[in-house]
Amino acid sequence: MIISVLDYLEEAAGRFPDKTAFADTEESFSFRRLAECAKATGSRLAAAIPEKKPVAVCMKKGANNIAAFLGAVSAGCFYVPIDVQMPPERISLILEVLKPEAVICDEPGAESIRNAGGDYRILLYADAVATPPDEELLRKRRENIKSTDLLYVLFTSGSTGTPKGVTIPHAAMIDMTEWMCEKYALSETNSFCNQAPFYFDASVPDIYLPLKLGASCYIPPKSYYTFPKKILQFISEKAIDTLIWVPSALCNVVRARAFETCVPESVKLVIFCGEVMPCRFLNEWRRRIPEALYVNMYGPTEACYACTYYDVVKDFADDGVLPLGKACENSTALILDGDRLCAPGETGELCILGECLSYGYYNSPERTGEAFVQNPLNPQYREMMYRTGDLAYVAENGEMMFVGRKDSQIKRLGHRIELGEIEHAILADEGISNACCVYDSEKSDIIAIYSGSLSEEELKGKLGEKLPAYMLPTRFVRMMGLPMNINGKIDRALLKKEYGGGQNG
Amino acid sequence: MDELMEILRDLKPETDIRPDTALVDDGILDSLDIIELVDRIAVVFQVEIDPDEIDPDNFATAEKICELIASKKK
Repeated sequence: MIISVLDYLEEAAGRFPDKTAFADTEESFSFRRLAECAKATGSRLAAAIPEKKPVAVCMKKGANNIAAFLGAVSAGCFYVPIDVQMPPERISLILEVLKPEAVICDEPGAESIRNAGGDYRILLYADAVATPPDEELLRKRRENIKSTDLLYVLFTSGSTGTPKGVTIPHAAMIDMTEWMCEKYALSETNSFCNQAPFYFDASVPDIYLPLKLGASCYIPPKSYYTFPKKILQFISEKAIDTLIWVPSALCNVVRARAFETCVPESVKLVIFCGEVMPCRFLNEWRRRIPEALYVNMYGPTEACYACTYYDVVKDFADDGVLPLGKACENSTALILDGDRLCAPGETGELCILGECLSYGYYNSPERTGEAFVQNPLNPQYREMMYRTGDLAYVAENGEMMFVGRKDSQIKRLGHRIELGEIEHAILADEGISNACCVYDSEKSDIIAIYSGSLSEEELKGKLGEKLPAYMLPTRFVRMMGLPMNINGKIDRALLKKEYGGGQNG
Repeated sequence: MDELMEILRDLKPETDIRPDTALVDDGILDSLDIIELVDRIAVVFQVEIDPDEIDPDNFATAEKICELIASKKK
């Protein structure tokens, strides 16, 4: 039985010692070297700090980050990736919540941590990996690791401005990894191309699937995604077959018309999660690489990567909507109106139960209590349920459909309107690159903020053909580019403040 | 050059961009910015940038982007 992700590492290092595990453009780790570096780092940590404590990792993105993560785990601790480029104030907020026992850094990371202030134990990665392994100490630490122990904490932006640390135990990660590998028949022959940053939940399959399988994962520089031509060439050269990306990265390939320069035919599986995937971009991928299987996954960070999936096996119109599909194995998805189960077709809040769930927010019992609650349909025994804040319904064919965020649902002139639906209609047009709608409840105005080549008049005309009058935005604001928040998503709070008269709904 | 600098400042109001600022190496432009920039160049300069030309060399600095636009205008 697999207790911790160290079991994956040990097995892969035994079966494929010399095979590439993780490689960026500067450094490559075989499974053996990865295991050695994890042990060295783990020995250094274990000698200095107690087990089951948080270890932050603040390093420039690269293959060595994974050695640092697994080093923390080898010491019986859990890791917390911190973006080295994050503003010092935010790093400081995170560290205050986390109170890490140690921070593993490279030189730029150490500078970021020092700039954030506070007195934290900084351990340079270069020193840590040079530590002779203390096998006896590591064995003791490992014996005490339980599958219910935390594996990592990922910080996401909270609506109040204080970051929330989502806790994920080994068991949840192992469960997700085993299911994905089995469901998509993955093996050591597959290869992965990491896109998401490691402080973002969308990256965790890129670490643990290769580790379980003994497969290789490449970590190209961020600039390759800025210039999608480069990433397609890279995928093609390395004959990579599995992409687990966020939708916006897939969309950018299409927007930059990069397929006109290169079509990586090696790709066989494309999984996307983290945002809504607009069908018109997906359709272009399917036209260019028709042999690949495309999978729409859904899951907040609180549900260890994903909790629902939909294999795209039929055609969708460019303005179509992909289903969320069904719950992943060992997860349950319920659609509730308050504490009542919704009937088929009825929209309610999507709530998640099962192995995938986080234990809540680190050092934040109040916020944990708000989102993680007892399953109201089960009065018999304790069963945690996470309220996602997302709205969905079950369609006639049994597939779940995403509607939007609970807090972006508005009531205007007696109509219940989902702002996401208007955004969807705007985004379906080729001339639009990004869009966000906000509501000014005082004036009953819907304001559509967008970027793209369409003029305000043109967009207004096109929407008039698609949406009922009560859903039509009253004002249009064309921007050069929409502001993004720290998670790389549209900064809705900022736009709301600027155009929506402050309060929501 | 002035028109291009205006577009860049509009795109990244929080950054002090000069003609020789390293737009790519310093991570100033991200993937969405590049797409916006290409769209905007098409409108303002009436030149269509080919997908093959969207690469780090051509977008390294404002000067390089200017050269690209000039070469397309010929």
